[in-house]
Amino acid sequence: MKKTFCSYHCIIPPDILRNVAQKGSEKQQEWAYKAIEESAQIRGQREVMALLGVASVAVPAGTKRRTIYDAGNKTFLPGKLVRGEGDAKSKDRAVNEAYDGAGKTYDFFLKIYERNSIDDRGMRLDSTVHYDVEYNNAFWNGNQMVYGDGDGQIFNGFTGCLDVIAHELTHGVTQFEAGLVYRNQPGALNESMSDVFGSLVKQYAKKQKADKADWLIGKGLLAKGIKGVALRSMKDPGTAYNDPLIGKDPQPAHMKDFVKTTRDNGGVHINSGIPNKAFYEVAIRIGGNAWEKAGRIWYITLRDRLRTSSQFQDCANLTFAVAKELYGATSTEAKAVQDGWNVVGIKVK
Amino acid sequence: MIVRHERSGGYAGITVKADVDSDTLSAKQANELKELVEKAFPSDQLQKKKTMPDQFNYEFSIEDAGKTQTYQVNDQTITDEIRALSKWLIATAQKKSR
Ligand SMILES: [Zn+2]
Repeated sequence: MKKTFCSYHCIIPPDILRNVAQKGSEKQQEWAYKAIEESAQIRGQREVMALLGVASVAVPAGTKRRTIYDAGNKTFLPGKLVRGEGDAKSKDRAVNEAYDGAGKTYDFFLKIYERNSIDDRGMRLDSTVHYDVEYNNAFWNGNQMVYGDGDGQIFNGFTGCLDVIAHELTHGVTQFEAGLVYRNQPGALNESMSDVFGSLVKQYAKKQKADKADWLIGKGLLAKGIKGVALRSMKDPGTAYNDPLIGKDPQPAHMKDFVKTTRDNGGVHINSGIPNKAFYEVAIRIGGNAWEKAGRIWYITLRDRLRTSSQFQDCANLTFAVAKELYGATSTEAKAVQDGWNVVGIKVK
Repeated sequence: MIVRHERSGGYAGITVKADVDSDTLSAKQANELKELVEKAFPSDQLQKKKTMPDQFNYEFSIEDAGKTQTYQVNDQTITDEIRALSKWLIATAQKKSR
């Protein structure tokens, strides 16, 4: 029996899980998949599924399956089904925004990186809108995307921004690939990956080249009257907002300003400014459409190289290695990656 | 009773703090707070689950009769009763600071 699989919190032997997942009753299978998923939050779903030999039936690439639920301002998930794939437009704007945004993100990953949905096996894209009352947030709960309406005082509805939707969906991709632990530096890398692809999905939809994009995350999310342009700036971390009610954008743009904190899972939304800035610098140096080369380097790194506990330095080294493999050791692309990380105070090895 | 509350994380990563001292409240509000706290934390048995991406982390520290108790939950483990307490504290602290 493989004992290595459950490294910290899982107590169920993998052989038993595999058997139940394959042969149990529907209820038992559901339980087994839940247990697998929980372990996957530690190990990365890819690794766990492979270890277990669980082969779910893949849906052919290009078969987009979106499901939108309405929580009715309560907190039960997923809520009431309100729009399935191919269904007519809803009267509810949030429903349509969640549907369209998930579609644009799915199309981007398929067309640009040949990725078949979140898990690369055609996973259904589930989203819940109208979560809780005036909920100032959106999150990925391990299975689906969840959006609040915002309170109208600080935040507008969270489905209004394509980069927010793509950000949440990318958390799913990361869960299935690198499985970056959501704490400290690996957590900040997890956050940064979501901002990188969130921004790229928006740039692709707008057909913007790197030097024409705003590199803002959550533009339009701050309610009228709040002093700020967005929630984060990949180009100039720390400058997105400065307001008496919500404070000042705390993101650093350089390792010397790395923030040590226990809040926010060790500052995952704060220190993500450093890898965000590095990506921006790389994309600008390479030029053209950021999703083509810089994006591909980052995507391959996320898919194949990063591990659950990777640090910023690892990410720098790995993106550099991938750039050299893809474009050549002395390529301008590899040099751009080296220089980009240098700007934020990280020397690639 | 002094209740200190902090909500961190979330998509925006903005920390919201709300500290309320029942001595500074009206009798009605102080009672409300006491009830909300009792309902929110009937025992120390809170579920332990990791925070998923962009979920909020909620921290409470309750100082009463010389004893301090702290509680931590996130959007995976929060109960309706704790949610009600968090909303009440944030709304009350915002009103007082205005
Ligand atoms: Zn996130």
